[in-house]
Amino acid sequence: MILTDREIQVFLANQQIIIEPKPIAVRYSSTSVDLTLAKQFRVWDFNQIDKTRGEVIEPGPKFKYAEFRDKYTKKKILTKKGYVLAPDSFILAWTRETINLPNHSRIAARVEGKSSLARLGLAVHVTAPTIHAGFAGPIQLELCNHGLFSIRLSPGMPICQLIFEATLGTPDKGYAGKFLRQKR
Amino acid sequence: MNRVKAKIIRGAIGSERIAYITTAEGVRAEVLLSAAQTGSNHVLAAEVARDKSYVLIELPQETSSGDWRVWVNKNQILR
Repeated sequence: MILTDREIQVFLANQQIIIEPKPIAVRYSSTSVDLTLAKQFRVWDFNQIDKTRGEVIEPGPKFKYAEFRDKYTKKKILTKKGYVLAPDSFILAWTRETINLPNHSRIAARVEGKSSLARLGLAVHVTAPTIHAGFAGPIQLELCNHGLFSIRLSPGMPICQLIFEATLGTPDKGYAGKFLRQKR
Repeated sequence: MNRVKAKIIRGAIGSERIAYITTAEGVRAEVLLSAAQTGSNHVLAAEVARDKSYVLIELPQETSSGDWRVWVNKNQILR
């Protein structure tokens, strides 16, 4: 079952869902809450990519995502002027809010795009919207501009929405993946 | 459900309307709606909260700037 705004607020008050900083009233809709864009983001380092052109990525047990990310991307900070995401560009960004879904709360979530941005061609994830029960940390966004126009991204802009779902039981094992308590 | 004062213009197809609602901050929120969700001078929207001067309303669709909910002046709510 999907939580409505009232239930989200009850869960927040009971610390069954933790969102820091807490969203303001206008960030809610009937069944979701908007999250905003953090200042930190990562862009691809094309100098480095050009040097290793032809390298084939082999995802699997030996693949180390953190090393890959650090090798091929550069950290950037969004200023007030924002960052212009050109058509067909792809960057890694974060939500400003940190969320925590304690295991016992029996809550999972999905991060989804906002229709106002989707109509411009902006996608906020690449087929990975699930926030598992037990997850804690800011949410990484895979921002991709599929549209025809450049889009200016500004710090603090509503960028995605979070939909909370009640699980049927308490999970045996909370989320313990490599992105638990991930940092910006 | 409340009737909230808005400027309504025809959309691209017959059943579509574009509504412009003035928010409490004085910003004009634009929202694309079906004709059934509008009247000649208003949109239908749910009241979520209110204080002395303002009402927080939830629109039937997201505005072009990405808001589902906006604060409007009390006098924007039609009786």
